[in-house]
Amino acid sequence: MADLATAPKNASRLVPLPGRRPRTVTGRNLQVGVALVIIAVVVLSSVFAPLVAPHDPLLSDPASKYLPPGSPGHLLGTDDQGRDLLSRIIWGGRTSLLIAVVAVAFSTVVGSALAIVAGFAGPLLSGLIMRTVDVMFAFPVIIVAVALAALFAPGPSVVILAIAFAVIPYVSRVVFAEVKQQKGQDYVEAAVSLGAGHASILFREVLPNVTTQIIVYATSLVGGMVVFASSLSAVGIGVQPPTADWGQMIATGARVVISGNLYVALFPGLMVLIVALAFNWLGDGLRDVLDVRQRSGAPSRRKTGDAGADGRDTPVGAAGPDGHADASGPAEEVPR
Amino acid sequence: MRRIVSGVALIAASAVLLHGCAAGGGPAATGDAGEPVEGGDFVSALYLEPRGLDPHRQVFWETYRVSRHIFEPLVQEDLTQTEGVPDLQPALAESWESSDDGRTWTFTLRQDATFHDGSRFDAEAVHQNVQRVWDEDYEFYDEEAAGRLQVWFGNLSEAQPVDDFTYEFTFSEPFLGFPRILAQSMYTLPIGNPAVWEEHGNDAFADQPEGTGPYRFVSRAIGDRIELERNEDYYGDRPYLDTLTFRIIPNNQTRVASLLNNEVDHISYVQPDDVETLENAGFNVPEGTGAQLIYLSFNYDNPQLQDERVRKALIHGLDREALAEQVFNGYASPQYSFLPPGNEAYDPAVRDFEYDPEAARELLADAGYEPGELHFNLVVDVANENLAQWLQDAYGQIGVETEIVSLDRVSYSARVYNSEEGDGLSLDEFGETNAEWLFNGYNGLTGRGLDQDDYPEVTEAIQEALYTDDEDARIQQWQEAEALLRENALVIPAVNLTRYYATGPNVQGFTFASTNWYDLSTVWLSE
Amino acid sequence: MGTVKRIGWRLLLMLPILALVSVLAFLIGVLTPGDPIEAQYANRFTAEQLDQIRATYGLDLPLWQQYFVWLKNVAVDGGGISIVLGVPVFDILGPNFLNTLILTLGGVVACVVFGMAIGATAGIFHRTWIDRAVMLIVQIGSNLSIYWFGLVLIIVFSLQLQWLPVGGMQSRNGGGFADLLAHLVLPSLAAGLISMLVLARFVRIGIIHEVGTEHFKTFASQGIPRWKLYGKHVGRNILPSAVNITGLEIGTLITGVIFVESVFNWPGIGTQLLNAVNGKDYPVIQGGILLVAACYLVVNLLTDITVDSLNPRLRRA
Repeated sequence: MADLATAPKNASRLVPLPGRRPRTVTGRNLQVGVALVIIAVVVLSSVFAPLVAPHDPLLSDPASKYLPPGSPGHLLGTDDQGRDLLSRIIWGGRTSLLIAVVAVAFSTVVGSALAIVAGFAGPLLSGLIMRTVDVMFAFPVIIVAVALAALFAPGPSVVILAIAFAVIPYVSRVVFAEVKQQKGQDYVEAAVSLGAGHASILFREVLPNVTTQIIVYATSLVGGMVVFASSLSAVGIGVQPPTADWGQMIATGARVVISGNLYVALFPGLMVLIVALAFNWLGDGLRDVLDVRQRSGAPSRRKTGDAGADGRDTPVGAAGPDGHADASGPAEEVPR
Repeated sequence: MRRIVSGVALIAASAVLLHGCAAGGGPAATGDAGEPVEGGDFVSALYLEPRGLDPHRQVFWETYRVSRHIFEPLVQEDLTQTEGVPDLQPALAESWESSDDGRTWTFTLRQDATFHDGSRFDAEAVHQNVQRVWDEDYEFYDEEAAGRLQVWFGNLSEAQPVDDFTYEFTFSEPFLGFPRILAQSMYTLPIGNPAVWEEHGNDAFADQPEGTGPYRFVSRAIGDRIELERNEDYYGDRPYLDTLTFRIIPNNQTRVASLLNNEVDHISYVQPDDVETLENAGFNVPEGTGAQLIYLSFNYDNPQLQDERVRKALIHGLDREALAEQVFNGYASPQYSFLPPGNEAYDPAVRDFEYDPEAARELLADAGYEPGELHFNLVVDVANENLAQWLQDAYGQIGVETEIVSLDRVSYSARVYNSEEGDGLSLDEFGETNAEWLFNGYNGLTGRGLDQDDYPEVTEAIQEALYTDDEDARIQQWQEAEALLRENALVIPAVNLTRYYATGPNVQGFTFASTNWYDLSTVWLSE
Repeated sequence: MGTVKRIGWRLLLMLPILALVSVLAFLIGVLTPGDPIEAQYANRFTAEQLDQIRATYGLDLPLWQQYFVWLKNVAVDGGGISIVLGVPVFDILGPNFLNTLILTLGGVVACVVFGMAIGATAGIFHRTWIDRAVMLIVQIGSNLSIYWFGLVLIIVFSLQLQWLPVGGMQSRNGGGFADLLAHLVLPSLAAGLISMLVLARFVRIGIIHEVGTEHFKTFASQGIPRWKLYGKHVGRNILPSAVNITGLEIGTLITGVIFVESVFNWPGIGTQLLNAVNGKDYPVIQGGILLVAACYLVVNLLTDITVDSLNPRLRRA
C-alpha cells in the first residue's frame, strides 16, 4: 500500500540527469576527461593551497577592502576584510569540498540504508520509514538547522547534519524507487522463484544494480550542497570565520550585492558551478562505465531502457507501465 | 535602550545591533526646499519588526519610533536638536518642579489635550497610567509593565492627582533625573488612553493603541506594515503628512533597494557600505550624534578577564580610530567613555586607555602571558562577522589569540547570557541621554558575569549619583562614577555610528535627532 | 483497490504522520536555544518574577504536559499566545500563511510556464546546440544561490530597468490585482527557479522519449504535423507526471521560500518563523512549523489523488 503511495511520487522526482550527453563514446570520454581534470585541478590546488595561493587567505588589509577584480596583486579583487579573493577561493576548496563530500556521503549511506530496508521490509515497516521520510520533507530546513545548531557546537558538524536532514529524504526516495524497480525485474523475480533469500537477492542482485544510480545521484548532489551550505552560513550556521569556505564567501558576498560589489559572491559562486558541473559529468560518465559492466553480466537494467533516443535519456517515470523512473535525480531540488 | 533581542534577520543577516550616532561631517537635518507643503503619504522602512505598541510594555527602538507618534510623554526631548544633549520640553505637562529634597515632583498638565477617542486628558488619566504600572490594587495593574518600569519607579512611594490638571509623584529617595527619564522611550511612562485597557484589558491594548499624539493608529499587519493617520484634533502644530506607513524590511539589501527605487521615503539602519551608493544617487544620509554606544563586554565568568591588567591590555590594544575608519568606512566615531554622546554627563575629552600596543604587550607580560598564550573566544552574531574578523586581526598584533564564534542571532543572545568556557568578548549596544543610564549600563554588565561586589567603589559611586539631592553636583557625580568604571577597565567602548537613517530626495525637514528616535510630524514631502 | 478506499487509507495514514509532525514541531520549538522568558524580560525581573511569567505561559510544566497543553491550544485556542507579540499565534500566522500561499502559487505558475517552455525547447531541439545551450543554462541555474540570484533580479528588473517593484506586496498607494501581480513576478521567478528547472529536465526527457517511440514515428510518417503531435500526443503522455512533479514542488516551495521572502520582503510565514526563532517565541515556532508541515502533507495527498485519477496505470505499480 505504502508502495503505491510512494512509487508514483518517486517517478516524478526522479528526473534523469540531463547534462550534455555527447553521442559518441569519444565525446563522452572527453566529457569525463574534462570533469576529471577540473576536479583534479580543484582538489590539487586545495591540497597544495599554501603553494598555489598568491596570498595568505587570512591576511586582511582593511584599508583595501572591496578592491575590484583586476586590481594589482589581486586578480579577483578583495573581500570585506581586504583579503585576496583568489587565495580564499583556492583555500576555500578545502573546507567546502570536504564538507560537501562528507555530507553527501553520509546522507547517501543513511538514506540508501533506509530505502533498502524499506524496500525489503513488509508494508508496515516500509510505510513507516517512507512516511517518516515524507515528514522530513515537510520541515523548513533552516529552522531545523537552527535547532540542530543549538544541540551541537557551531561548525562543520552542524552543517553536515543539516545537509543530511535535507538530503536524506531525497536519497531515500530515489533509492527506494530503484530498489522497488529492481525487485520487479524478471531476473530478480526469477531468483526469488528459485528460492534465493533476501540477503542473497539484496547483495547479489539488487545492490550491485542500485549502486550505479546511488553513485550517480550522489555525485550530482555535491555542487548543490556547497550552495546549500552558503544558505546556512548566511544565517550563522556554518564554517566559522575567518576560515575560507565557498559557502561562507557566497553568504558574506551576497550582503553587498546592492551595495555594488556583485563580484564578491560571484567568484566563489562560479567556482561552485564549475565543480558542480564537473561532478555531474563525472556522474554521467560513471554511469556509462558501470552500465557497460552491468549489461555484460545482467539483463538490461530497465524494461524501457532502450526505447529512449540514446538509451539513457529514458524518462521511465513519465509513462512507464509501472511508473518507475530513472533514478538519477535532481540534486538541486533540495530547498535552500 | 537596552538592546533588545529583536526579531528577524537570521536570513539576511540584516539584524545587527549596531545603531547610534556621533559627530561627523554633513547636515543632520534635511531640507531647505522652500515652504512646507501639507499632505502626502510617507513610508518609512524599519529594519526589524516592532514589538507591541503599548506605552508601558514597549521595548526596542523600532517599536517606539512608531509609537512615539501615537503616545506622548509628560516631558519630551527636543528632537530637532542634532547635537549635544537634547533640551527638555513640555509635552503633556506644561511645567514641572521638584521639592527641595528632590523626592517630590509636581507636574502641571496641559488642559487642551484629548485622547484619540475624544476623551479628555487630565490628572486622572495620568493616575490610571501610573496605577497600571505601580498600584497592585488597581484592577488593571499590569505585572509585565510594572516589572519593566521597576527600575525607575521602584522607589515611588506615593502618586496622586493634586487637582484636575496637577499630578504629584513622591519617591522614597531623591530622584533628580526623573523628568529626563520620563522623556525616554522604554521602561518609562508615555501616556496611553486608560479607557482602552479598562474596556479591552491590558493584553489587548497593543492591538488598538490610543494616546494623545499627532498620529492615530489605523492598522497593523505583522511582518508587513503599520499604518497611522494624522490626528485631525491634535492640540499642537498640525503635522504635514496625511499618513505614516512603517514597513518592516529586515533584509539590509532589500531595504536600501526599496529606497533607491522610491518605494519608501526613509530607512533605518543604513549600512556603512551603502552610504556612498545612496549619496551618489541623490539620497540624504544625514550625519548626527545619537545616544547609542557600541561596546565590547568582557565575559567576567572567564577568570582570565577578571585580571584588570588583561582588560586594560585589551583596551590599549584596540585602535578605535582605525576601527571606525576601516570597518565602518569612517561613518562612526571612536568612543572612549561608557557614556554615549548625547548623554547629559558625556565628556568628549575623557580617555580610557589610548591605543598603545606596546603598553598592551607589557601589561599582558605583567599578567603572565607571553605572546600567544592568552586566548579566548570572540562571540558575535553573524551580522557582525566582519567586525569580529577585524578584532581578531587587531588582537593578534598584541599577541592575543582569539577564536571567532559566530552564531545565528538567537544562539548569540543565549550564549552571552550563559557563556561557555573560553568566551572572552561579546558585542553590545546600549545608550540613553539621561545620566542615570550609567546605572542601566552597569547593571547590564552583571548579565555578562560581573559581580558588583567586586567593584564596591564603582557600585557606591553610582548609587550616590543616583540618589543625590544636589542638582549642581549631579552631573559631576555621574561623571565621577563613570571615571571609576573606566579606570577599572570594566568595559571597552568602541564606536558610535554617525550615519543611521537615509531619506528620499524629496523628504524635507527630517532631523537625525541626538537620541534614538525621531519626530515625523515636522517632515513634509516636496515635489 | 478502489480509488475511494485508497484515498481513505491515505487519509487514515495522515493521522499518525500528523501526530509525529506535531511532536517534532513541538520539539524543534523547545530545542531553539535560550529561554524565551529570559530573552524577553532579561535583567528587569527578579528570578521569582521570571518564574511567575514562565508559569503564565505554562513553561514550568514538564515537557510532555507542555506538549498536550500546546495541542489543546492549537485545537481550540488559536495556537496559544505569542510570547513576543502577545497575540494569538494563528492571528499572526494566518495572514502571513495566506501570503506565502500566494507566493507559492506564483512560484508554481513560474515553474509550470517556464519549466514547460524550457524543457520543450530543449526536448524538441534535442541533439542540437539549442538543447545543449539550454541545458547548460539549466545546470547553471540549478547551482545558483537563490539569495544572490534574487538580489541580481532586483538590480536588473527594479533598479536598472525599473519595470518591477523591489519588494513587499503592494505599492505605496497600491492595492488592486495588477499591483499585486507586479509585486509577485520577481519573487515567483526566484521561488520557482529550482522547481522550474526540475520540471524542465523532466519535460525535455519526456519529449525525447515520446519522440523516440514507434507510434510517434508512425504518426509522423503519416504526415501529421509535428506541432500537433507534440501538443496532443506528447502532452497527454507526460501530463500525469508533470502534475505529480508540480504538486511535489508546491510542497518544496512552501517549506523553502524563506530566503525568497527575505530578499523580496514578502510578508510570509518564513519571515515570521525566523522572527519567532530570533525571539525564541516557542508558540509561534511550533504553530508555524505545524502549519507548514500539515500544508505540505495535504498538498502531497492532493497530488497523489490527482495523479491517480489522471493515470490509472500507476495504480498497478
